[in-house]
Formats: sequence, C-alpha cells, structure tokens
Amino acid sequence: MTALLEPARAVVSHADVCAFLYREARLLDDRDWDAWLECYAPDVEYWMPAWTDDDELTRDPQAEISLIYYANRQGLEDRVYRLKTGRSSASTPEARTSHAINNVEILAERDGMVELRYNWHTLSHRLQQTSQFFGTAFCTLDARGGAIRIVKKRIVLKNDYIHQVVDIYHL
Amino acid sequence: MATAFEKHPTGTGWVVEDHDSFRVARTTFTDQDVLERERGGIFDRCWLYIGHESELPNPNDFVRRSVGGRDLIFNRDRKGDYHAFFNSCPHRGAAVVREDKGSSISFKCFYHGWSFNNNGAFATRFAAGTYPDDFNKDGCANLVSVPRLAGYAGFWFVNFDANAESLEDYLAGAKDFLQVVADHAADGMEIVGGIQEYSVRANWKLLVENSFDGYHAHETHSTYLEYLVDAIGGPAELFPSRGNISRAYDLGNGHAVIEGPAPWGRPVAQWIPAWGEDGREEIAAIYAELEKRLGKERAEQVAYGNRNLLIFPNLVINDIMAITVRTFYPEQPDYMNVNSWALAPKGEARHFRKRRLDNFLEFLGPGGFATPDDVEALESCQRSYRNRAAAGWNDISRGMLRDEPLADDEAQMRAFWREWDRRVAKAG
Repeated sequence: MTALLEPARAVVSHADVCAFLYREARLLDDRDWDAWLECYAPDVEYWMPAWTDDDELTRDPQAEISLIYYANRQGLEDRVYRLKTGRSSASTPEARTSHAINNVEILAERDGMVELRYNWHTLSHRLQQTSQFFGTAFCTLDARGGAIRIVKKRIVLKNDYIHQVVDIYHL
Repeated sequence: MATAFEKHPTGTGWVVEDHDSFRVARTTFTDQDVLERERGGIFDRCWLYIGHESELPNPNDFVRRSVGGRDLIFNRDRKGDYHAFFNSCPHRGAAVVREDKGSSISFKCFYHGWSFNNNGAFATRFAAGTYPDDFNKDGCANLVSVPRLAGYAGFWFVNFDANAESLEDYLAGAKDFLQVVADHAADGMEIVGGIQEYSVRANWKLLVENSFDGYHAHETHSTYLEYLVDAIGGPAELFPSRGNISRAYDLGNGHAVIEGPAPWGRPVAQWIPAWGEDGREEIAAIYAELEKRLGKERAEQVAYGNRNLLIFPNLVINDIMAITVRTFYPEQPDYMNVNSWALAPKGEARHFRKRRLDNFLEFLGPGGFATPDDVEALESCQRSYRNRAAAGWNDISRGMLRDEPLADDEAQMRAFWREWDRRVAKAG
C-alpha cells in the first residue's frame, strides 16, 4: 500500500480505534487512574443522561437531570482524586471490574476527528456481590495529534435502575 | 439516675427512652413481622407522597406511580380535576396504564379492551344480552379510586385509609416548611425532567435517619467537603439572622426538619465566589424579589436556610445546594427502592438551572459524591444487624439534654421514632 496510489486514507483504522477503546477500558480495570485521565482531552464533555418517565433519554444536560455530566475534564479529575483518597466508603474497598467492548462502529470521520459508537458491558464485584452495567457509548476521538484523545463521550446506561452507585470505573 | 431500656407504656417495646437516653432495637430493621406491622400501621394509614402538581400541567395528563406498595395512576380528567386510581382493571386485574407518563382522555386495558374515561368511569358498550342491562349500577366496573387524595403547596399525597385525618391536620408543622420550598419562586416550582432510581440493601428507616442526619457529614462526606472547598472559591454569605447555627425542629406527627446555613452556593439565593461578580448581581436580584414578595425574615429563610425535611413516613425534601424530592419503600426488611427527583423554580434562567443541576449531580444520586457513601454506611449497618442478638440496640440520644437541639443532634430522629412506635404499637 502506498500513499501515492491510495485515495486519502483514514488517519486511524478501525483496529486503531478498537485498540484505543480496549486500552481505556483496561486502565479502568487496572485502576490506573492517571493514565486513564490521559485518554481524555482537557475540554472533554463527559455525559451520561438519565431516562425520563417517557422512556426517553434526557437531551439537555444543562436543563434536565443526568446521571453524570461534566463539561470538561476537571470533573473526572475530581472523581479520580476522590477515589485515590480511599475515603469514599462506597469505593473502598475498590470494586473489581471487567470491561468488555463490542460492536464498535465508526460513524463518521473528518480531518482526524472520528465519531464512533460501541456497546459496553461491565461486570463489577465487591463485597461478595456481582453487579453489571451495560449500554452504548457514543464518542468523538481526536486523532489529529500523537496520542488519540476522547473529546466527547455520551454514555447510555441501559440498566439504569442502579444499586447504590455508578462511577467512572463502571462505565 | 433513671433506668435506660424502659419501654413506653403504650409502645412496642422496641423504642425505649428516658430523660437522657433513647434506644431503638435493631430487630426493627430486620424482622419480617415488623415490616408487616409497618405496612398495616404506617403505609396503609399515613399520607404518602404521589407526585408534584407540575408533573400534571394540563387536563388529561397522567403519570404512573408506585406508592406504598401499590401501582397507581395519578392523573387529571378532562375538566382538570385530580384523581388517583389503583392501576388495575376491574375485570381481571391487568394494568390499565402501562406507560409511566402521558396524556389521554381515556384508558384502555390491553387484555380484553375494557376502557374507562379518565375520571375512572367505565366506558365500554357491550352487545345487548352480554351482561345485565344494569351492569355497573354499583360502579363495580369503574376504576377503583384511592380512598383519599389531597395536595398542599403543590405536593400531592394519597392515603389508603378512608377515615384518615385531613392532609392538613396530618402535616401539622410540616406545612410551613412545604410552603418555604414552594416560596422559592413567584411562578411556582417544577420537577425537572429525568428521574434517579436506585436500590439499597438496607431497611428503609436507615434512610429516614440518614436523610436528616446532620452528624455524619464531616466523616462520611469528607471527600465531597474537600471538593467543595475548591469549587466554591471562598466563603459564602451564610445565614446571618440565625447566628449561623443549624437546628432541629420537631414538627409534630413524626415530621421533623433540620435547618441552617451551609457553605455551598444556592441558586435561590446564596452567592459563592465561584459564580463571579455577574453571578453576585444576579443572586442579589433574586434575593430582592424574594424580600419584596415574602418579607425579610422569610426571604432570608428561603435564601440562606438549608433544610432537610422528613414528612412521615417516607417523603424527604432536601432543600440544600439543590432541591431533591425523594421517596422510598421497603420491598423487604433489608431492601428498599428509592426514587429521587430534582425540584426547581419554574422558568428558571438557563445558567441558574445549570448551576443547580451541577450542584445536584455533584452531591446527590447514584452517580454523585455523597449518596453512594451514604448507601455504603446504611448497608454496612444493615449487614451488622446480624449481630443483633448480642449487640441489639441503636443509640439515638445525642443532644437529649439540650433545650434547643442542634442539627447534628438526633432530636429529629427521635421525633420520627416516637411516631413510628406509636403507630406500630397500634398495628400490633
């Protein structure tokens, strides 16, 4: 394959996208919080909408309830800080998680910005109980520079009847 | 010195108090018979929250709600009158309404197609001879209404006991605090779109106590409070006319509240430096409207007072950095379902709504910084009640010797437990 004979190629391949997503999930499983934060751009919008009585997702995080909403990475950093203190009793002892990602589809790509969706399923074990979370995530990745970073993430949690807690390491 | 563990002469024996001691038996959190007596003595006889008026803005609107273990329809008919029906077809029992929310002039059962006007009246025509001509003359084919339905300050309640006292008598001193919450906005309050539902493996009374427990915050919520120091960007103006002291008030009939200052920003209407100088002016304008409408004393209470209010038995309205309306119901002695909504001024400016929701999500709900740590504590208590044969009593005596109890005392919990004891004893 040569650049001369090929039309303009995608900056990142499907395999690159998958490798990035698997790595982000693995960093959560390994509780490597600081490296995990580096997967996100400083101005990332990180949003998990709530469901309404109409069985629709809330559409406007600034006017309706969400489960988690951050307009930038500071909120994720606050969460990591809190996890690392060991004084959030809901997260200490830490859950053992196992993230699985599948059905990864690239929806659009322009100038190194990649929009994609995937299904996710996380099993979480803590205090002799296993819980699970599953849904679909919609992401925009910035693949223009060296390292790929997430600039937008909307997480649809399909089993939103939650036992006690849902945190970044479940998603 | 009086003897502790002396039961109320008319009580269950599970709540024992003296002038300086107050104990509750841990069996009240674990035993199936206690739950059965609570169902009969409390959930079948008390006024229970069903919804807020803003959820039914127009005639024909309905929501479906689970209240006190029943599946209910809360709706308005074509004329706009409010109703609460058991969501069960009089024919065989299938749910007549299967959506959680909507607008409809009639309801139709999906099983055999019986239909009903939204005032509950049976509305199907059968071919002659199918049923007697006077079928439904006794109303047996109409939807069954919940015996009592009433609203106060926009909050609607049902009661399964047709002979219960009126809602206003029941609410007693809590009426004024519901009104304080309604007073936040000249145009009324509304439930914000979206619901948080979660479950807790603990007895429901542990969440009652936790919801207005001023004592646990510094320990349980230390990570939130550290976050807050950074987020508020400096000292807020607190509640000057109360001497910056938080107190507990027994409101009668088991209702109680803790009220006082707190360091976080309140969209209505306590400014924090993180909101900037523009924000200071906007908050000042909101405060000025409050003072004009309500007078200085009430305006200060609305703006600077944080309230954790319990309406006995299971409605919590926490008017803190945002307002949450929360109900919960025990499925089992050690398991409850929790529903939680955000309440906000109608027509609130978008950037205030955003601040409110940021505040709400940061603290409250299963994705927040506080609720999961609370739940951890409740579940830990519940698990250790398996030691109850040897370690059988909870202590709820903090501040009993004080004339004016503080919010981090436990007078508000004692108010709950005395009413609980009275009602459960009667149900024995």
